Amino acid sequence: MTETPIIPTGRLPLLGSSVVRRLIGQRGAMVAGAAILIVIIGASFLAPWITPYDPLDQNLRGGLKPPSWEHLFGTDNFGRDIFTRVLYAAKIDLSISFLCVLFPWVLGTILGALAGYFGGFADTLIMRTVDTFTAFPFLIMAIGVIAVLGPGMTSIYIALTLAGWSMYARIVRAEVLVVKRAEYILAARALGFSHARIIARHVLPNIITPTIIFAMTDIVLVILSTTTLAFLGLGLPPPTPTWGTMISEGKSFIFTAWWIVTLPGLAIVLVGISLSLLGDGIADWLRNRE
Amino acid sequence: MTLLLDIRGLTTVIPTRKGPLTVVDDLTFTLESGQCLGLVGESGSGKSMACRSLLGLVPVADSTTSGQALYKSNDLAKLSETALTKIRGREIAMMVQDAVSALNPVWRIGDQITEAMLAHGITRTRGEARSRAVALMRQVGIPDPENRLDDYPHQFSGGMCQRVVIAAALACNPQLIIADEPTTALDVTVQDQILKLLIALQRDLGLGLLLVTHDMGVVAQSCQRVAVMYAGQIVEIADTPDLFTAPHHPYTQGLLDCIPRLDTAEDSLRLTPINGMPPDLADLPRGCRFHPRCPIATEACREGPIPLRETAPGRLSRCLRAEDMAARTLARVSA
Repeated sequence: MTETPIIPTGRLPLLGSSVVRRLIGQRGAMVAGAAILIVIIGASFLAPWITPYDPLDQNLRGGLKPPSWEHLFGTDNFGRDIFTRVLYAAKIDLSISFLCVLFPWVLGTILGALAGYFGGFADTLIMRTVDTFTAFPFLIMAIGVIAVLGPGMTSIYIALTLAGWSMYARIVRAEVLVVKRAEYILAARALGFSHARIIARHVLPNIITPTIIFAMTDIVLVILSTTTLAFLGLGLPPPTPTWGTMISEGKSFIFTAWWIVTLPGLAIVLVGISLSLLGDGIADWLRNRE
Repeated sequence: MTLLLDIRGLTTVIPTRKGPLTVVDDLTFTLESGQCLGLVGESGSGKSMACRSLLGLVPVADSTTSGQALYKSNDLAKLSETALTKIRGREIAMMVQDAVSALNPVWRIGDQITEAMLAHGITRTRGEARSRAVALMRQVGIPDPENRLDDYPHQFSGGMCQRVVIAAALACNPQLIIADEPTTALDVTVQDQILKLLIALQRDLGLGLLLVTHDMGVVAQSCQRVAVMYAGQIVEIADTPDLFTAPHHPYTQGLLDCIPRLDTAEDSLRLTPINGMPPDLADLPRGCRFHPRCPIATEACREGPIPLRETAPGRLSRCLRAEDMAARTLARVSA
């Protein structure tokens, strides 16, 4: 396999990556992305030591203060420190996004491998299900599932897994169809290995790279989706800080207190850019290694 | 010598868009332990399909295999997939055609040899499996096995890959080895080494060996018995010396005429090809499948299926005129 497999890259143009990449070069872009992400993740974990405030503590007399040295990002209408809330929200948003890429990746890979490897009825059943799921736009599907299950952490995981798994299943199935005809699969069968062993040890290691490449671009879409869901009020219920809910709560003050909406929004943009730079870099590296 | 394989009328049919296609038709032969049986025939004659049918590894969905394939007392054609999994590799090991692509590129050589032992529970610990893998690699002539164990397949040459494949096939002490064109992908000098290694191992370990090849030279060098396949059927089975001196089927004669000989008179140095092309399995001629290309075909050859019958002690042929052929050869030899 010397040729780069043609895989569909994200449903969304990677945020500004080509511009930034032209500015600092390919390897530099990946390092910059990783650096920004490490700083954000580090800050989110060290939040209790970085800021003196609590993300939930209200101070009604100190509400709607603009950014200052005392409150770097200002305060919201309840007087909560926005910088503190952005940091605490980073941990929640990033972990939700990571798991919402991991779950569809696992589910899609397993189902796609079964469909491709066994073919026949299993293939028809799984791939027609994939078609059904792909027929719904990503967000519509996610919103629909959460509307049925009610808001909450588990609902978000289920919704984004159901909305995202089908693409992984397609990629994996196509790759498995090629690999299962390889001589080493027949050789493995001739040595008396079970189907489960052959799929796990002989098929999947040879086809997993394209799915990782796709996951790298998918994570940007997922982080935008989780914040969008939160903005629409389908995320975690208040007062838990997430970037989406912060923007949603601040939108009525956008003309009087711009910082409530703008600064969490910039946090999303920054994470989006760093993830796509890093993801692109890793994806390129994996492609070249193949 | 014990009887390892007793195949009777094994027939494999695969469905195609044009209708069912009989790729292996009425396969019949026996193989004893310590014996090497050559299965020869041109490309597309069903040699590989015959091997795969034996182990239930026909690569087409919804293919059906009927008839009897006795291994010891088990009928391989009727065993469940689970039961076959226990026999494959453990009792009967098959080596696929291309050794280089038979090794999984993502795993180390050592892992590929030990995997069968661990999967079949031959060895209990990884350490035990590794030391057995080293011994096997030494046995098949891979130099410096302790270090090469941790190499990847791409670091091995074609001949060395073939040795690894042989080592992996031997890992579980099988009784029978099916080698599907083990030397086709290799260059001539390496071919010879691998063939000698395979024959030596087979003799030392007392294995049954089913050697699939299209090379009559390979057969002459290594097999006690030969089965010749044509268009999905076995057309002749005989002990190697008998087959080479007096074939009982005109197709075998044709194959032999295609081998350059150094020991005969000058005028026969020109090779005689077999006229025509092998038939399309979807559109077989009536009667004997070889009759359109056969120099001695008669009207009778165009009628009905021709059975495989005993034409001399220990010899089977699917030719109506086998006795005439034998007589003619006799006349030629005595002349």
